[in-house]
Amino acid sequence: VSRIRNIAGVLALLALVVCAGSFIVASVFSNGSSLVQLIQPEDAAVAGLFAEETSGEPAGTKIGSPQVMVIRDEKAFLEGTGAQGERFVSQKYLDEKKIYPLQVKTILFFRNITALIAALGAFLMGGLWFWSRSRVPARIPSA
Amino acid sequence: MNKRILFGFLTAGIAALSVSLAASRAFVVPTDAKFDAQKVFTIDSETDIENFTGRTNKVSGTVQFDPEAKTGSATIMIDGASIDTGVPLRNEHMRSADWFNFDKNPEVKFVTTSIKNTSGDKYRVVGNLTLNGITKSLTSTATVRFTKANEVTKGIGYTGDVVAIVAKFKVNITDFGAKHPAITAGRVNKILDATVRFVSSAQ
Repeated sequence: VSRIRNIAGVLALLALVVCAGSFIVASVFSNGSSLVQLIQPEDAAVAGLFAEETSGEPAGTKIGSPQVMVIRDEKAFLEGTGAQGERFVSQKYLDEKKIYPLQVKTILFFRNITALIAALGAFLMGGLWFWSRSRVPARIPSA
Repeated sequence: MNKRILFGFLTAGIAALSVSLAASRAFVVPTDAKFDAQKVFTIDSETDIENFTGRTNKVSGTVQFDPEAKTGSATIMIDGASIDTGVPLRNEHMRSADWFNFDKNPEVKFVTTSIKNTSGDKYRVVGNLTLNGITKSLTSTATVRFTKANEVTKGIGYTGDVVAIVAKFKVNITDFGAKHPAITAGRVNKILDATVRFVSSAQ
């Protein structure tokens, strides 16, 4: 029982470290993230053929909707910001550099999964440790 | 006398039809690779892990458009098998039978059934979308802009007048045979936003 208690205690502690670590790692990975709108840039003459409202936006085709992404290469960014404060990023540049930007949604997904499993582990191992603690007979002082 | 009236009506009818046919002109989406940058189909998907956009430049088709009456029709084809999501494995999944089945039925086709000008260059478009061999009616909002041939359009490479179209619509993928368990479990949204953007040119 004493051995179980020790192992459970170490595992509970380890799970707590992993749980806390998942938040730290996610924070490090998310550092520098911003709301961005991917755009396939095109010639202003071509963009002018379309009846799209693009005041203050770079000429081009929007790829999807604005997402919170981690893009640390400043050369990927285009001039201007959108209505939601999103920055514009050249999809052409990302393709040329073979950059597939990490989304904060992905980081948070793995953080939450890791933290949940670790917290569950800490709870179970902590419970086991507590249970086994109450089962260890108190030491009788030697005469 | 009656014959004269009937003849008059017939002549007027034929003349009106001729004017109508002459006004509604044919435009073609060029398939030459040099025009790839001016046409794109995108489809946005939201999953638990990330939001991604599949895209392809393989868009073709024909447009009938009357810039005066602001009416027309269109048939647009997209090569579904060429849609790229940025992750090769995910592309394979999208082409599989659980999703869009593009390996078996690569053609995505949209045929308009009614086009109504709502304001300015904006239109409400109803049409039939065929995906994975299944045809369903859906409604789209579109912007359509007609530009007469000029130095700019010639400079881009178009030989005649052009019509540039951006159409946005929502696709419920379960209506078209997608049946992956992730959809029913709610880990992937089943209603996707799709956009087709292209320039068609008079021949």
